Amino acid sequence: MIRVGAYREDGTPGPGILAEVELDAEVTGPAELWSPEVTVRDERGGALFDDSGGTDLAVEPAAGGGPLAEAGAERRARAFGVGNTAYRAQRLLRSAARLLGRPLPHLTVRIGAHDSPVRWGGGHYRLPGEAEPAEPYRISWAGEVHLGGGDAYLPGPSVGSYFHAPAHDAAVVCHEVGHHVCRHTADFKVNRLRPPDGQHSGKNALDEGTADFLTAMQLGTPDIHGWHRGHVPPWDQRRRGLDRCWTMAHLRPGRGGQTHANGTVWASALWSAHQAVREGGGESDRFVAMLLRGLVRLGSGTGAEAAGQFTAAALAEERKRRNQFSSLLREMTAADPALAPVVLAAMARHGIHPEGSNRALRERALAAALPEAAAAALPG
Amino acid sequence: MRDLSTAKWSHVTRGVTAPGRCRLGGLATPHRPGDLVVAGVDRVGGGGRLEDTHGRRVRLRTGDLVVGACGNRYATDSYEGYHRPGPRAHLLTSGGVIGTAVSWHTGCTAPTELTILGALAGEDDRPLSLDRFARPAPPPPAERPRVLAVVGSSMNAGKTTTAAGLLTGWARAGLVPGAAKVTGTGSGKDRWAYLDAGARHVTDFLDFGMPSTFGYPVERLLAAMTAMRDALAHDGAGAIVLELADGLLQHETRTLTAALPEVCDGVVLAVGDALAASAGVDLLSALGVRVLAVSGLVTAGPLAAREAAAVTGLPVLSPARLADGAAVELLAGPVALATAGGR
Repeated sequence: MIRVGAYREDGTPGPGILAEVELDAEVTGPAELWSPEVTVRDERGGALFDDSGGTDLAVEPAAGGGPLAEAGAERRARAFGVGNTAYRAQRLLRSAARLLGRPLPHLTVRIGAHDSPVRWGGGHYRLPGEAEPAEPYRISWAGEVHLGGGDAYLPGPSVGSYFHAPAHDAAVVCHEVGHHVCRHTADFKVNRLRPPDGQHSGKNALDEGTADFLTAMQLGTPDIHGWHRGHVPPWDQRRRGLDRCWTMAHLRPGRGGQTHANGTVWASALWSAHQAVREGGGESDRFVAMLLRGLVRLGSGTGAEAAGQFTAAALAEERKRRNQFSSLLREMTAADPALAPVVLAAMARHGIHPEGSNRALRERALAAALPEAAAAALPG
Repeated sequence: MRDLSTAKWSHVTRGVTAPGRCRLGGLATPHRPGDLVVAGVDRVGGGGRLEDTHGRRVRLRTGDLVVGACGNRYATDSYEGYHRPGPRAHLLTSGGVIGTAVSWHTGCTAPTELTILGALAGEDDRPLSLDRFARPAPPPPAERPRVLAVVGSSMNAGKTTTAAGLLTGWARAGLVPGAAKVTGTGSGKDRWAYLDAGARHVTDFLDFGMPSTFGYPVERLLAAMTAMRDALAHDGAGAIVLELADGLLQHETRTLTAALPEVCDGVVLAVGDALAASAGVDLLSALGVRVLAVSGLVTAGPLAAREAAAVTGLPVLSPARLADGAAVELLAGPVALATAGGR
């Protein structure tokens, strides 16, 4: 066990409460922490932990560091980022493993990735295979989270500005770790049937929405991106707040669709269903377990994989099946039939039903939102 | 007494408070640079437009009344003009600087001809000058934000575009950008460019009582440069760009540039080609100025940009590259960015 500095969730838009936390991990490099679930490494070089004595690592976030910080503050901020990321990732992965009854494959997190020639303020989850931008790393078969070093300043938790280093932002870390959970449960891109070095790193709306919901569970707030998307009004889908009633009518299908924004439809429906379960006396964990087991069922379901059909057409069909909101909802209700009535009712308020394609559900939701006469005039 | 309600109030009058109470005064005393005057349009020339106080480019017609300010102009690609006492004058800028043009670029047409009818007077019938509406110099701020300056090899070398790139980069990074046009001739064009680029606070020499800086004592310009920087800091800017007009060979620009090490943290040089980059860096080095990067029109061509990088040993950063993150890096000091490319 070591002690690291980290932000604990406090339910408010912001990085959280600064705390020293126990972490089941060890220092395995000048900028690397290893734990059974996750390895976190700052790829920008330098010795981040050399003044810590090995077991008590940096607790000071140094306002995120950044290009305007002096060298010592930047080093402290990076060290904090490694510890904070390891803390957030381990918590989510352990929670998922407990509810799934099995551990997930070991995750690698690289911080400061893709920071050249332009600073990067985001994060992504990558599998071995073609990617844009191209990966300078040999990607682990199990998947990797890459976090940029940050590219912008935000209002800080106290007075002054804070350099938004993604490793300091629990929402960014948890969201990307959420994709790791999805990859090894639902496997939305059917990567298990692809060559090991030809994996697909793309995400669909269910993947994005599930990652956002798991983040909300970790942070205890539906306004998961309230800190770094605080400038986006809560009524805007791009804020990705889960406590709004985004319905299938808000889905933007096709290539012009915004996957993250579409994901909020699924994420907000999950949040509503979770709230309904809680209000009925159920526990959060039970609902999250229902979701995780539904994801597993979807990823090992009845399609091409189960039938042993590995043709391109069969794979495409299976991928399409795993894109449908209704498919995942069906698997969730099958995973915990006792919770099904309350979950189905909550999901229905978002226009999500256990039958029908995404397009059909969207048209149904749009028709329901229109005055009766206008709905009757719609074709079909 | 002529009614000024139909007069076209130029950009340089934007600081005049209660224009509705102003009136046409007499011609008793010779005007000086900065004095506000009312003129009639005798013949429309130049671009045929006047930029009003809101930024609209108003069409000029013969017989129009124009309210502007006396001043000089130094523009190698446009008019060279001077303040001359007397009733005959030219419109030296669409922003409303009035003086006598003595030469102009072959690409320009003859300027709009004016007859000065009298001073712009206040309610007390006393003639008004821009000095009356000038912002007082603020005290130095307790904590000075990071400040960069943009200087160039010549007019139209890409200085304002470079400054805009810095401002956009800072705005995108969540900083509060401020911009000052330290020298030049009264026109809203650069002001709008700064605001469009993301500047939250903008000031210029007009706010400090000068319609055009050409011909003003260098001591006053030096004081104004510091005052503009401090004013932006007081307004709340967290990162500031100071743009100096014209080329480094212009007398006032060169003198102010020599003072930049005391005023800012580094300089970005905007140039049109590699030879200008080389000469500009040498000149700035001789003045003891720290050049952080080269930018401007030279970055439009990858080959020219590489040439400039090779000859100066400095990063050559396009305005787009500045906007895409390099602007923040420059605030931190010299950067090892050798190409003009983006991600």
